[in-house]
Amino acid sequence: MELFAPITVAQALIYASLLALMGVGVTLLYKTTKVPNFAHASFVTLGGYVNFTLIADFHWNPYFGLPVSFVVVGVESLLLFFLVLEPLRKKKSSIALLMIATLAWHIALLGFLGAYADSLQTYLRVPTRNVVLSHLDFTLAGLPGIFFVSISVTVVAAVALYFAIERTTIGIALRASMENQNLAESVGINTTRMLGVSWFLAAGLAGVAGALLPMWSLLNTSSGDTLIAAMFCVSIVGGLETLYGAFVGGVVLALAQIVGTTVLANVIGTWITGYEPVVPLLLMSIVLMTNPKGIGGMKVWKRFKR
Amino acid sequence: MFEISSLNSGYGKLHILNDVSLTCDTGDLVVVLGPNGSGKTTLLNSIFGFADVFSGTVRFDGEDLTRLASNKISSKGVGYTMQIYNIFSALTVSENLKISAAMAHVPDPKKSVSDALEIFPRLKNFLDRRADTLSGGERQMLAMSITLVKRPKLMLLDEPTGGLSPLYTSKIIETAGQINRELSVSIILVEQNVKKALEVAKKAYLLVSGKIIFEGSPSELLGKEDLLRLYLGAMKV
Repeated sequence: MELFAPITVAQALIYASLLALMGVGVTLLYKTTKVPNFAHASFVTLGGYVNFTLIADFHWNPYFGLPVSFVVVGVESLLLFFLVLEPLRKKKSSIALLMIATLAWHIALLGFLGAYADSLQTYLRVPTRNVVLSHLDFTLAGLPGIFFVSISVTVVAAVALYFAIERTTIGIALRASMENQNLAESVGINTTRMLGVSWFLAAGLAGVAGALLPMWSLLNTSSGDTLIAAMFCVSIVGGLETLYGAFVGGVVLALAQIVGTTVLANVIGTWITGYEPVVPLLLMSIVLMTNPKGIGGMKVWKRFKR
Repeated sequence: MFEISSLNSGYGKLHILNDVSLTCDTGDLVVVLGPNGSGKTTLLNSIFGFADVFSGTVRFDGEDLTRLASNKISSKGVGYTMQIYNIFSALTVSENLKISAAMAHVPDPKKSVSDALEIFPRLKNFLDRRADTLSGGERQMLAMSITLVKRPKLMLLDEPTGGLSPLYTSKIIETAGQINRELSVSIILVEQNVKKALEVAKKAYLLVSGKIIFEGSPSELLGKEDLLRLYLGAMKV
């Protein structure tokens, strides 16, 4: 009996790539602003609808809109940061309050996206919910284009993020701000600006993940919400203190959720697939109980540190 | 010239400093002494925008620094070496120095870093090491170097010898004196090691319970046996 087909692994790798793009932002924002950002869900959805608009209205290639989604969602996150979070931070609001503020922003954006989807449907006369765009994709070596594009985008994002953060002055300033904001201010770093940079990058990557989503799965106004547990899971499994851990966390969760569930379905019965959404929560619980620092926080990595 | 006038400050509703006034002439090294909890660190935090100023003014070279953001104060030529959490422990020694020089927009950041390393040559051996692997004394050297590479006109040093061995204590305070003399950097030094600090200082203040109760030369303070015994501990002098 074949436990899983090769295409299942390909599906898992696509899912892993998208999760990594989302999760790395959750980790980045946690490290810089110390806030678990619930608005990340709507960042993903907004990215999806920005790209969908370009495809449906302007007939763009589905992959050409990725940079636009990155910028639009990045700018939207700057509004959240500078209009809502920064004034609260200046009043020395608690982390809990900041977290609730991100939730409130998410709910507001959810309402906006619902209204936008309805308006778009009226204007374009095309369905704007439960959108699937895989029919627009190309095929290479029997695999869908999203397989190659999602992995490439994630690898490029990881490498670019590494060089930007480890090798540039802004990256060093960002790491300095993450570690100690008072000291960063005292050496002249504008930490507010650095936090803005981190929000732009984190949200932009979530927007790109959202833009890729309808090429692989359904896009609707609650797409981000259905993935929020997975995003936090990726971030926690990878290690909240380790930026690059999210890329590993994405692979672990995707393999557990897609390949693991497929194997179990073949072994004990297809009824188990109904419990697939439980996998991120289960994995998150196991990691928090056994290794709270996540994979990136494990001692084995210390030898690779400077 | 640096001048604090009638400063009242603290944190939120906690009022710590009461009508504190202090001056530091250009090129001077001023030491602020006082028992634990007297408000010495709050004084430096108030100068640098880390504490809440309720009233009073902080002026430096004719500019009002009161309530400016810390990074703005830094850009005016004021450097602050905090007592704790004064290095970026996850960055390398080299990155710690580079980022400070880059953010200060000094004309030649590389020269600024190499000049700082001439003051603390021991750090040259650890440039590629993460800062959290340094010893206590080396960390303090790095902390002062981070401030020094910005080529400040005024350095605020908060207990730079805290928790260090006698050997490092002497070295650090002597180096503060050297920076003051050779680089003409004005220094406000908060220190517990009274004897060593008074050796390099030109002027001394005694801060007790948030109020200045003495202002004068180190020799004048050394003549006030009652103050030394009551507030500074005769053993340390």
